[in-house]
Amino acid sequence: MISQTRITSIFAIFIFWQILAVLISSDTFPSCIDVFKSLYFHLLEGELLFHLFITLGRVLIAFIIAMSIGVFFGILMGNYKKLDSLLDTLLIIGLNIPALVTIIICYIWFGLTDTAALLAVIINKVPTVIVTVREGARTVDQKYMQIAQVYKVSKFETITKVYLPQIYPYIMASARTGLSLIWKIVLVVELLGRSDGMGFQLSMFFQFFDITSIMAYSSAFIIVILLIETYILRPLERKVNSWR
Amino acid sequence: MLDINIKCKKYENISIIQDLSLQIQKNDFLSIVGPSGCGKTTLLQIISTLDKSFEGEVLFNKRELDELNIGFMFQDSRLIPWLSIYENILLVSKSKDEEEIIDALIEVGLEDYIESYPKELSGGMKRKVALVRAFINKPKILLLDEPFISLDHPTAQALREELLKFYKKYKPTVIFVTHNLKEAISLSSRIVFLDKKPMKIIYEYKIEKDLFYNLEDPNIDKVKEKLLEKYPNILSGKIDIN
Repeated sequence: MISQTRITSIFAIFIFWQILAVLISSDTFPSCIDVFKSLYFHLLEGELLFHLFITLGRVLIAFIIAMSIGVFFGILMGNYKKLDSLLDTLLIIGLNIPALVTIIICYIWFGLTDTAALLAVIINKVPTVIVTVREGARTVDQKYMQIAQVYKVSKFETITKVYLPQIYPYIMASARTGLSLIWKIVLVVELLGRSDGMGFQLSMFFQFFDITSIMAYSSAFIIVILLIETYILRPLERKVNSWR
Repeated sequence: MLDINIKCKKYENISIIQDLSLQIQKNDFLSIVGPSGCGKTTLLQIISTLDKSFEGEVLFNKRELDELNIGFMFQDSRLIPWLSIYENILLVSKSKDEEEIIDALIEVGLEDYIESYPKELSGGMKRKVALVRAFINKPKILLLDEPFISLDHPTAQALREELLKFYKKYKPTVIFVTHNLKEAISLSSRIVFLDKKPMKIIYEYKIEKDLFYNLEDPNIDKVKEKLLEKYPNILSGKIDIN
């Protein structure tokens, strides 16, 4: 559930925004009410939901693939020093290549396709997941692994009940930061080379200097991300950490 | 019979155990007493198959120990904090029999804590769970690495009694590492005294008794005094006769 403090802070932002808009009184800074009117209009029109679902789909696919690859290599690199030193340089390069460069290169190499778009997002996200999960894998407490070994616990149970729970906090941390990073990159990818999705729509509004619609679309997406955070990620994190 | 023959065990090029030969009869309760750092924990890790980087062999009834059910109580209770008490036992249980696990927990008086997490239990209760875990698979070999260390006297005594109860029921071959000579005398039928770097057996003492002594039993003090009178430095690994 959304806490009272959270609701208060959201309302405080809206009030501050409204006051600022009245004070500035400019076409390029629409008021909170104008943005919600625009949001309502775009919702009724149906376009917003269509583009929202397209973008959400891309975010979801990129998120799942990036997390799976990142967790897999993070665990391996945290456990095997040789593999770690072999891939570490590649990882540092991956962490430091600007998202924009990856996107442009993917579009040039693979064309303006969904595959290229998703690949660019995944390449951007994977290194940060690896770094976080690798840290988690390095902190795994061997004394619990010894229990599994002495009592000859099956490999499957050792991994799911003894090993992974120790790195869940790291996986959760990279999932939460990952979601926000991925949707930001997805918008850029759509803006640069797709003909649908929120990013594409934003670029259209930009060409018409329709700042109200830009903010309305952004609000819709932020609301969705907040809902995912509140109703999926936070409860999941609470469940994982319930023993603490 | 548990047959331990370790030619060499090194750690960072230092020989910890060299030419150690120790035979323990089936169902025997053997205590190992020795100074800190003499490799007692390393020895238990070798027997438990946790440490395989040594020269030599450890056999039980002439067979390797890899497939054998072994119980191990460490110096800390070593319960897995994110699993409930029940799940901690279930994880290691071979039969995965819910009733058997709950009965064992009831037997040690933990019926109200089955669904609790380890952090909700006192130090003594955690050791009880570790004790149940050590016995849940009816082990052929039970390794105890100073399991009652840092517990207050009544709690340690209560746990020793629980241990004896389980021991009499399942009759495993026990290796009990301790610093406490009285504890060793009260529980075991044979005590092995060790010296360090490299580990070697300096003295073996067989205790003639039919029943296990209570730790308060005056006979224990008598045995202890007799031993220390003859070998005053035996606990620090020296066998100079008085």
